[in-house]
Amino acid sequence: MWRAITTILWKDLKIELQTKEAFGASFVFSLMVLVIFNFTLDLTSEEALKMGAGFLWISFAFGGVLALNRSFALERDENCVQGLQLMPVDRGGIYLGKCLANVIFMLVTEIILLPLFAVFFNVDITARPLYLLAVLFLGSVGFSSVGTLFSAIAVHTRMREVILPILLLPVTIPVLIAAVEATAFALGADTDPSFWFRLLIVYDVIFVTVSFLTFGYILQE
Amino acid sequence: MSGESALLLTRNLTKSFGRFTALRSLSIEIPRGESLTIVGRNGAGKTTFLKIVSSIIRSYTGDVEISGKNLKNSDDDTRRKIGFVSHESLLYKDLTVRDNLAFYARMYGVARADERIVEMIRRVDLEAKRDVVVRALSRGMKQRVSLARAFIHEPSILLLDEPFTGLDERASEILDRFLGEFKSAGGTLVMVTHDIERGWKLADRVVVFEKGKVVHETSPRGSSFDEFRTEYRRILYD
Repeated sequence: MWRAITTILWKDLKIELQTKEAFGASFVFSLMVLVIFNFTLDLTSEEALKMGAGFLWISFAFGGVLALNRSFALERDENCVQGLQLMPVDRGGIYLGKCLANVIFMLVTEIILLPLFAVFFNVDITARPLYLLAVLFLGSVGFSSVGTLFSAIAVHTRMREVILPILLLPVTIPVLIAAVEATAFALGADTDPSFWFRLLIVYDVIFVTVSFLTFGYILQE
Repeated sequence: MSGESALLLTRNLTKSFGRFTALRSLSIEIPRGESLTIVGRNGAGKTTFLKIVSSIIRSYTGDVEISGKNLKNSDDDTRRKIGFVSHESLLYKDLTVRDNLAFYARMYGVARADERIVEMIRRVDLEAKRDVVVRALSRGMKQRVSLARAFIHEPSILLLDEPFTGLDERASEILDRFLGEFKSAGGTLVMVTHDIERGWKLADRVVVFEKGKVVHETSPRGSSFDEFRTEYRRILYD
């Protein structure tokens, strides 16, 4: 299992370092969303604190969809997905390796976008930095856990680029709402984040487990 | 042939896709070291048979046994015995030749993987291309890398799905050499092909699939290719 996870992760990172396609598409799209919100809305600092977290996660989610679409698209070329089906490894390990790679891609994009977000919206991202990092991590795990599974489903369909967001965004609404609320607290809002933080953890545990257990059925023809 | 001596055995294997039945209660035994060629028209169930035996398709009725172990309950060691060559390379086009082989070697748990990768690159005569990304290779070169991929874990059963499609002369020559060495080493070979002449030459036994069943079986040792071709055309066109 561990061998499958690390090898899939190594392979996906290596391909991304070679092509930079997932990061490039995700970063540019997320940045565009933030720039458009920044220029269309003239927010006070108090409003920016409340609404900024929402804008931030909208940009992460839209950019994340592009990166997730790429995740299994690279398995489609030359029918590499058949190579995965043949392998003498637990298919759950393949899922975890791909999910981990997607979490890393999302986190890298998020961490690069955060300082730009702070400049655009005049928000202090160092108010509760460890808490902010924890929320980014939990939110990315939740989004990627479902996204990796749905990306594997969508790759077998003809309209795969359209199918993924249609499947993914409704299912990830709970994790996005929880991430927005918890991020607002991390940016300095005077709210109680404990419920949202617990929701993020529960969502992650449930969806990572369910996706891990069902991935074998999704991967087979 | 008794069931105990077969390396690969299917019993009442049936597979349907919706209303279409690809395999109908197919029972076939393949002893260790045999080269079996499967021919038949499109949709006869040939590729479905290979996909089930290789664990690509895991939902079917009936039994598949490899070395006496039922494939549905099999461990990773049983699946590690299988190598698969298809007309598609199963290679990542953005990875180099060496990285592609390293990926497959690690996933199959190949011991002393680095040495094995160097050896396989040498055997397919691509030492000069080992650090080139696969997308920059010609189709023939990709197929040579694909052969190295299929043999990297030293399988004892080799499944080939239309292996001659799109091969250039050099790749074709290397494939013939690999298959010859594999047979000499006692490997078991199951090949699906429309190229009946090449399939005949490589086979110890040839079976014809039609509507998910074996409708004809012969051996190159017992009959000539011309006799087989006449019979094959009769099955296909009558």
